[in-house]
This record gives sequence, structure tokens and C-alpha cells, in this order.
Amino acid sequence: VLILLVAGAGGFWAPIVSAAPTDQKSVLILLPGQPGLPAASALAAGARSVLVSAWSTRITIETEHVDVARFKGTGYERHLREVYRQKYAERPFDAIVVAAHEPLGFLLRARGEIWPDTPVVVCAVDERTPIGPALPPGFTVITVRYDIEGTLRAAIGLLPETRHVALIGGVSPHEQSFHEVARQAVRAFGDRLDVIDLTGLSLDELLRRVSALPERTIALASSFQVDAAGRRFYGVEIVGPISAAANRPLFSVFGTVLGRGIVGGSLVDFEAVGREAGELALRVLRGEPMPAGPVRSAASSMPLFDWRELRRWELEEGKLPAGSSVLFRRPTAWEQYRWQIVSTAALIAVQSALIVGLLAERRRRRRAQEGLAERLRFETLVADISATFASLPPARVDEHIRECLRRIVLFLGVDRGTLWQPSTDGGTLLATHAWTAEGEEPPPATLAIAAYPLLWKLGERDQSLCIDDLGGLPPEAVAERRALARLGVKSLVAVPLRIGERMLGVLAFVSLRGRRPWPPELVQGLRTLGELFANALVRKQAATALETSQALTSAVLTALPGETAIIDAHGVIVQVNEAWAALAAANSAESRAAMAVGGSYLDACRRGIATSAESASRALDLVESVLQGRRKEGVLEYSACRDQEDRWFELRAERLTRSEGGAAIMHFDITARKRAQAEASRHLEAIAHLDRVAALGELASSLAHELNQPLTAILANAQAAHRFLAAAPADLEELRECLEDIMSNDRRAGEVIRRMRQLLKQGTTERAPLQLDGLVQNVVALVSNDALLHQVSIEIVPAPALPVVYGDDVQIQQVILNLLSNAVAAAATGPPADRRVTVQTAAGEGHVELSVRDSGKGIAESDLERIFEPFFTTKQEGLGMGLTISRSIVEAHGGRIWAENDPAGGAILCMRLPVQAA
Amino acid sequence: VAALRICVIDDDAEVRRAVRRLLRAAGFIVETFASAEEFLESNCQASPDCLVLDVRLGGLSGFGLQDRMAAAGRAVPIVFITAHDDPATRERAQRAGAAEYLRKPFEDQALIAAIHTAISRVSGLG
Repeated sequence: VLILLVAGAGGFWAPIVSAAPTDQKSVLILLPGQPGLPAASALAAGARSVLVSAWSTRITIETEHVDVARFKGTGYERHLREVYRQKYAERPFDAIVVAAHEPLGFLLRARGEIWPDTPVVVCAVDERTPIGPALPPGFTVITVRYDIEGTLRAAIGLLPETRHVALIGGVSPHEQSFHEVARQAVRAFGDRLDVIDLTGLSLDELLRRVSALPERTIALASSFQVDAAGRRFYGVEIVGPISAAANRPLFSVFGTVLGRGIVGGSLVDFEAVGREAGELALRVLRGEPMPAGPVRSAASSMPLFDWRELRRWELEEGKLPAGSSVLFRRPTAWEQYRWQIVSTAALIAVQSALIVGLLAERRRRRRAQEGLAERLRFETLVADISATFASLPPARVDEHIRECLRRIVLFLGVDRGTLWQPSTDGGTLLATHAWTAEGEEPPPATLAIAAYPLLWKLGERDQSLCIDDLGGLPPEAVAERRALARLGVKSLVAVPLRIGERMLGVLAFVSLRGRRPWPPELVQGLRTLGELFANALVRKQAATALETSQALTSAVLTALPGETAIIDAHGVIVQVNEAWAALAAANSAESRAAMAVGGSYLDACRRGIATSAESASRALDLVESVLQGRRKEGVLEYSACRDQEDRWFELRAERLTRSEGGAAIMHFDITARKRAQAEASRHLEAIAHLDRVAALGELASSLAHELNQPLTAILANAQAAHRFLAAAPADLEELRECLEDIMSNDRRAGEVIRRMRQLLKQGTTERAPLQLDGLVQNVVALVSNDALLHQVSIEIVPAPALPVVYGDDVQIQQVILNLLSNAVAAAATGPPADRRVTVQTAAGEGHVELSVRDSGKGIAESDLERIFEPFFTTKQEGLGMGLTISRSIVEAHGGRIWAENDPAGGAILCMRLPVQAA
Repeated sequence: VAALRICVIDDDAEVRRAVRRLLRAAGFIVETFASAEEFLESNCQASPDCLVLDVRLGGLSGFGLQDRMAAAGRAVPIVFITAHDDPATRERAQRAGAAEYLRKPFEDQALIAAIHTAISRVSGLG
């Protein structure tokens, strides 16, 4: 007979308010603990509802969970700060709503760095708990009063014999301060009550203790997130086990734990607190004046109790404080049918209209009660699922989301739950995660977004879609109606997955068998889950990206040839490569610390200045100017002693193009480069000189002129003298003048030769260690063109191991050049097929020997010694000085040079140099 | 036979003096000049029987002087002497035809023979 009327949940097509506000506003809500914490969710929902109803789509609301209390000292806070700074770098907030002490503490530490001037509304802090340092300007506070006294009074009302209060709670600092508030509240009852302190225990110990509490004791659940063993809990979940283990009734002040095992108390309604915070945030956005001091929330002290717990401890409802509400009532058979029985009995006497009225009234009450119970059960599920996401490794996110979909589908009794994400081209939706009830069709793998224009548009406006049946679709949703009908969808709820402005996808649950309602509370819960899923997916993406980027950075650092460190804007080393670490480790203990991660590179430079290194001061200037942005990069070279060896280094500093600044510092060992440079310049000098020698032909021509003049004068004078002598009588005066002129011209010729020798001699005649084979290579390279031109092949036969000789390498190269060009010229006179020059080196007793053998005609036996005399030449253009000069060079080196004929044909010119320094 | 007048033009003073001494000992009348310009400015430029002329001179070169005199219609016998014996110089010296060419240092007989050859070639007696 009873028809359960289900409230139609139409009207979810909330009209889009295109109203008033002129510009887009942005609000950040900072919540404590992990996502999904019921108190925090309720608070955020309250604040959000107020803000959205006033600003509609013109407001963007970001929600973040600051879970720093449970993960203290892990570096998590520093990372979190960095994440927020980057995440919201482009998106300033007009107001920040911060709930409870934990995120407030975080905000006070981080606000200067991230959101320096943003106004803040603080809520859900107990008026008795110290906030810490005085709040800076721009903060408005709504306090709550966790009504421990009211809760204790209610407990005493129910259990007048109560003498002891067992205080249960966790060990984290902000919990400790809350426990202190509770202790003071108990003390206010004077001798009437005392405290059995069960805070600071491990959970196991606590469960044992609460199961054996003395008579006349009630338990009071304070905040519980971290136990003495360091285990972290999801506060509301711990209440169930404690309550189950307890031998005395449990009370609390937190509205969120009602239904989880507490009898009840004077509770805080967090959603209402959130609404109040939202109202204050609205005033900030409108630029209205803010209250100067803290404002007490009106949402503290709601007397609420759990019917099941009252029954468990046999407590009388009649003793509850006035105005109390009892929830979770499970009617007895009598209670359940009392009204029907009464009305049946009264049917005789009372008009049926009255009966209908009474029935309607009862149904209304019962519906409300069942709705509430259903809502609480769903909230419990949401909370449970939320808890599981807290410590979920990124790799397990996908698998876990599917498991969650399964639980939700089963709980809701629907047929399918699907998480849709847009493809990269944005054209289709992919069913990335899905769970389908047994015996039902799984969702299609993809959907064309174009087929759901309205649905997608709603999602982009951060709105949900609830369709009890397809008839509930708005008339313009023609495409959706057709598409859904084709898929056999009878009823549908879809919530957007969003991170800020970014739409990640849609979370949808469908019924394929018939219509069904989607109460607003359920949709709100699904939105919370959507937020969780979105966060988890983004975290997974971020973890993957971070891993990739860290691996890349590390690989790049390792691959760099030099020692490399990354320093922050203050010069503190934040990352180094292996080479740098090895260098730092090799340093003295003092500079080791300055060169390690966490050390200050600038200090290391300053310490260098103290030890009088001029380069350290230049390095400091360079790095400072790069860090201060005066230049983008810079390089300097310096020499230093490393491994007992003087080496050259290059220091390169390059500014990092990121908002927080910093620089990359690189040291390269450039000793090899420097040495090669020095070698090259020395070589150039030598080659310039060799060029001069090679241009001997040109020189010879001018020398010929210089020498021919005195020779002409000598010859003419001598022959004139001859004629004077022939005359009779001989003119002795003329003869004397002739002889004088002959002598002076002879001296003049000698002078020319001396000048030429000087010209050929290089200023320095250092005795440096020489590798004869190396010199041979150089010279062969010089004459190779000429040899090629004359089709002469040059073969080098080096000795296996040649000792070092001492001498002037340029002069020795002159000698080798001379021998080689003579040999090439001699070989070039032979038939083209047989033009060879062989250069051989050999080590002998206390000397090294070089021999140059040619395939020419050889030297006449009588000329073997004469060829070393000045002006002996067989060449048309030659001067006959080459071998003369060579001999003087070799002899100056304490060596010997001579010529032989090869029995096989051709000449051999030999040079022998002593191994000992001459 | 009247003694032949020889003008020696060489920028090297030692060579000038030695050649003058040699030619005088051989019976010539000799005048010496340190440059072509000095010779052109002197009053004896119209009268020499032969020039003993260094190729490389400061200022106007030996070849330059030869060209100048040819341009003025004066066929003067010339013996070129040079310390730079390169084929280009030799070719240039003999191109004019009416000149002998000697490489320094030279034998006295060679110089005297060259002078006579040059004179006879110009006067058509050779």
C-alpha cells in the first residue's frame, strides 16, 4: 500500500547565472590533512556553495590539501611550497580561505614567498588554541569553539555518576595543543571530573586501555592522526575501532565522527563553518570592510547524537540536552507500524483525510531519515576511498581507480561506472577506467565528444549532469538523447574531473535497466571522488614527468665533460655531477663542505680570496654578476695546482632561465688545450724561420750581389796590378793602391758571409731535449710538395727507440732541411720511376745518427769533403753555402756531418749528434 | 790611334775605382760616374766611345739610360756589367742588340774584348 515517493532530483540543470560580477575572481581553499577528510570536504563544500551561488561561473575555486602535520621533516613542505609556486605562478588569487591550524601554519610560512599580498580568511581554528605569531595584516579569522564543556555536560546528563574522562588523541604538535584545550575544559568541572590521559599512546596500547576503562568513566575523542609509534591515521576512521574496543561510551566535539561510533556531543557543523568562511571571502572579493578581530562561528555547539550508540550504552533519550537531534534511528516494529496501527484503529472514527495526512507526515519523516542514513553511508564510502588514495604510489593509480569504480557501482546499485578522458586531439572521449556490473554491457571504448555537446559544455562550466530518465534531458539536448538512447542508457549522472581550469575528463555512472534518482548529496560525494581521481591522475602524470625530467637532468649533468654544479640564487649548491663530487671529495675538509650540496659556492670563492688566489676574486665577481642577472654567462681561465701539477682551468657560469634564478657552474680542465696552443705558437715561430731558410734561393740572389761586388773589385784590382807590373818601370804606387783595395774588398766579402750566418742563426740557441724523429717528420712535411713535384718518394725509417738529444730544434731542422732538399734535387736527376730518398735514424753508442740517402748519381770521391766548403755548388742557381752552414750548426752541437757514396748508387749524407747535452 | 774614352757608371765605389784602374792600365781614358743621372748631367756625355754600365743603379737604371740615349738618337756602344746573373736580365740586356753583357766578377780580357765588340758593332766595323 505504501508507495515510497522518491524526491525527484530534477533541477540539476542549475540555471547559469550570467549575473553581475564584472571580472573573473579566483579563490584558493587550503584544507588540512589528506583529500577527502570529511570535515574538510564539508567545510570546502560549504564555502564553495556560497561563493558559487554569488559569482557563478565567474569564479574559479582551487582546493589544496596541506598535509604537513603528518609528514613533518620529510622535505614535503618545501616541495609543496615549490609545487604551489609553480602551479599558480600565472594565476593570482583574490582571496585564500584557510581551514584549521595546520594549513594556517603553512600559509604563514609560505605566504610571503608565494602569495605575499593576497587577503586570507582563516576558519575552523579553536578560539582557545594559540595561533602562533601575531597574524599579519590582511588576515580575517573566524574561530570556532570546540564545545568540550557542552559535550561533557551532555555526557554527565546521560551518565550522572561520571567521575573520569579518558582523553584519546594523537601526538602531533597541533593535536597536543588541542588536547591541552580539552584538559582545561575538564579542569573547569573542578573536583567533579578528572582526566585519564590516553594521548601519546600507540594505537595497540590505546585499544587495550580503552577496553578496560574503570567504572564511571566516559571517553572523549580528541584529534587523532599520528600515534606514538609514528603510524599515521585517517582521523575519522580510527573512531570506529576505538569505539568497538571501548568498554565505556565515547563522545566527541567533531561533527564528522557522528555515525562512526560516538554517542554524540555538542558538535561543530563544518559545512556551516565553511559557509561562514565563504561569506567572509565574498566580502573580500567585493572589497567590503572586514571585521577587525576574530569572529566566533555560529556553527559550533550543535547537540547531535547517534541513536544506535544511545541504545548500545542504554542511555535515555530523555536525558539529552534540550534541542538535541537523534540520528540513525532504526525504528522498532512497534515504532515502525505504530502509526498504521493507530490509524487503522482510528480509521473507524477518524476521517480518511486525516489518516492520509498522518501517513504523509510519517513518510516525510521516514524519507528524511533514510535519506540521511544513505547520505552518511555514502559519505563513509567516499571517506574510505579517499583514505586509500593518500599513500598510493603513482604506478598503482589506474588499477586503484578501477577498484574504486567497482565499489561505487556496487554501492549505488548502478550498472556501469566509467572515467572518460579526452583524446589528445580532443575529438573523442576514451574510456580509460571502467567497471561494469555482472551481466551488463561494458562501455564503448570511445565516444565522439561532438555527440555530447551539452554534456561537455556543462563539464567545462564545472557543472554536473543528473538525468533520472532521458525524459529529464532539456529539449535542446537532441544529440545527447539520441546518443544515450542508442547506448541503452536509462539514467545517468556525470561529474567533471577538473584541476583548476583544466578539464581532465568526466566521471559517469549509468543505469541500463531503469530510471533512478541522483540526490544532491550523492552528486556532491561523486564530485569529491572526481576531485580525488583527477588529483591522482595529475599526480601520476607529474610523477612520470618528474621522473623523466630528473633522469634527463641527471644524465645531462653526468655527460658534461667538466665538473658541474647547479647553484641557487644565493649561491648555495643544489645539485652536482659526479665529477664535481669527486673534486669536492679530494679537497680539504673545510672546502669540502663548501663544495658539497648545501654548501655556498660564493663562500668557497671568498675563502679562495683569503688564500690570496687572484683568480678566486675574478671568479666571485663573475658568479655574482651572473646570479644578479647583470650578465647571462661568463667565462674565465685560471691556473691552479692539482695533483701536484700546474694545470689550466676554465670556469664557466651560466644563468638559469627560471624564475627562481640560480646558475650552472662548470669547471673544465683546459690544460691540454693550453699546451697545444703554446706548442702551436712555438711551431709557428719555427716555421716562420724555416720559411726564411727555405727562401734561401732568394736570399742567395741578394747574397750573390753582395759578394760579387767585392769579388769584382778584387779581380779587377789584381789584374790591373798585373798590368802595372808588366809595364816598365812598374808604378809601385799604383801597385800598392791595388793591393790595399784588394785587401779591403776581401774583408768586405768576409763581412758579407758573417752577416749571412748571423741572418740564419736564430737569436736563442737553447739546448732543449729533442726527438729527432719528430723533427724529421716536420721537415719531410715541408719538402713533400717539392718532392711530389719532382716525383721523388721519401721514405722514413725511424729507429725503434731513439734517445733524446739536446739542442736547438730550429737549427737542427735547418740541417735536416738542407740534407733533404739536396737529396731530393739529386734524386730528381734520375729516371722518374726510380727517384727515391730514404731518411733513416739510428741509435748508436752515445749518439744518434741521421742518414739521408738519395738515388742520384753520387758524389765524386774528390768532392766528398769539398762539398762542405763555402761556395761549392753543383747547382746552376745554388750558392754553395747550405752544407757549410749545416756543418757549422752540427759542430756547434758537438756532432759531426759527412758525406759518403752508397755502393748501390747515390749519395748518403750523415749527421751524428751526441746523446749527452753538449 | 787616339785612346778610346770609356765612361764607367757603377754605384759601387770600390768597383768603380778598380775598373777605372784596370782600364787605365789597359790604355783607355776613363771617367767614372756613380749614377745615370750624374753621367747625363756631365759635359762628357756626348763624347764617350763606350759605356761600361752597371744594370742595377740607384735612380735611373742601366737599361733606363740605354733607352733614354736610344730615344735621343744616340747609338752609344754599351757593355753591361751585373752582379745579378739571372736569365731575365741577360735577355733584356741583349734585346737592344748594341750591347755586350758581362757577369761580375769578370776577367780583364773579357771586359776589353767586350768594349771593342760593342764599339765595332755600333760603328759597323765588326
